[in-house]
Amino acid sequence: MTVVSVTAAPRALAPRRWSSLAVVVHESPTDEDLLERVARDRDEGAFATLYERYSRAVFSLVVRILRDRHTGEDVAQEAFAAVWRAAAGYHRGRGSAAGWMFAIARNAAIDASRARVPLVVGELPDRPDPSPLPDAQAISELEAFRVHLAVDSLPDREREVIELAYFSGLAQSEIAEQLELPLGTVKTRTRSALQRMAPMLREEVGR
Amino acid sequence: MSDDRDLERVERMLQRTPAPESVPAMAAAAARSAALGEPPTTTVTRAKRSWRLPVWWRVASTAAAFGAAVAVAVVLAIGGRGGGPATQFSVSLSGPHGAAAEVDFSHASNGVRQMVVHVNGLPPAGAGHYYEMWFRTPGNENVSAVTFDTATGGRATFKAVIPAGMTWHHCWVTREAVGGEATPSMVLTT
Repeated sequence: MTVVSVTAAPRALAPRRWSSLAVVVHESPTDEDLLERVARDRDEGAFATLYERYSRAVFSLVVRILRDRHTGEDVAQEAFAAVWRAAAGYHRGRGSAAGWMFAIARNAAIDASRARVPLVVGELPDRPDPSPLPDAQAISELEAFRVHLAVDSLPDREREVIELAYFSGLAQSEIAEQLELPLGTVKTRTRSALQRMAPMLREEVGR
Repeated sequence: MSDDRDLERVERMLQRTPAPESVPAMAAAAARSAALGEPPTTTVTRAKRSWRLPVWWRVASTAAAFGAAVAVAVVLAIGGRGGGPATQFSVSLSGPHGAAAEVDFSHASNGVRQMVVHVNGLPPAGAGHYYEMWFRTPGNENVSAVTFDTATGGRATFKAVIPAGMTWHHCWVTREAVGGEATPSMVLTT
């Protein structure tokens, strides 16, 4: 696959940002319970459950930062390995498990992007960088991470409708046709999904 | 209970959130192995595979390649089918028992060309298996593009990329076993 060069971005962000991350609502056990079981008991089942919950959001995050799916696979793998190794470093009182895993994945991706910055020879033209400021970029990554987690936590029939509507750009009538459902059912499932997601994304809702 | 303003705001968040990436099955297996300290059973390195294809397949693929080329030309000529502003052209794949996929290719950007794949009617690959999408280049090299699985109901929608400069004349999907399979079965093809 083609390797796309990525500009390194500063990592520094105030830790309090992570502690404000709302927890995605799951059936028990919670993410925090699972992470503590990984740390205390080296519980592979708990780790597998965390992987199921977070793999897509983590993979999407690192690919978004690296802009390279192929490298993203390796970095996501390394991020989960780091979660396993460093689980004992997580403390519930300092914030959510989601925020802790987001920070690990983001740092792994930024480390990888720094390693890939090409050596610059000669003088660069003095032009403003059009990319978002690091803080704004991190907030946008965090929001996408949380939205992906919230979508992944939906029941299959609601997740399917949301993905087709918002990630594939289909109109509700097209979704109804594709899923062979009445239009009213699509609307009901969409509304139900949005209602389910609202508390998960409560802090962003207030922005 | 959420009020309508809450729902509108969640909608806006969804609208500005990019589609999540599909997690490659091989990467998932490797990640678990790496984290748990086990020797990896698979590698996440993209393989370029050369196959001996059966005669019937070579004949069918020639016809299919011609059909796909015509389809691409038609789609390009009429400016796409409205699959989003970035869609440059689309191709269709089909398989047994009504399985089908539609692949929307975007304009090349930053060295890659994004594709959005919509799969329907393809049962989940099952334990220890996954699906893999391939392209054949003009040099008859088989290039793996992405691995995926379908949800209950046989559907999947995901994004992937191919190198912007890669040309190909044929695309297909195989069902593969984690750890490798000598004779992967073809489930979808152009």
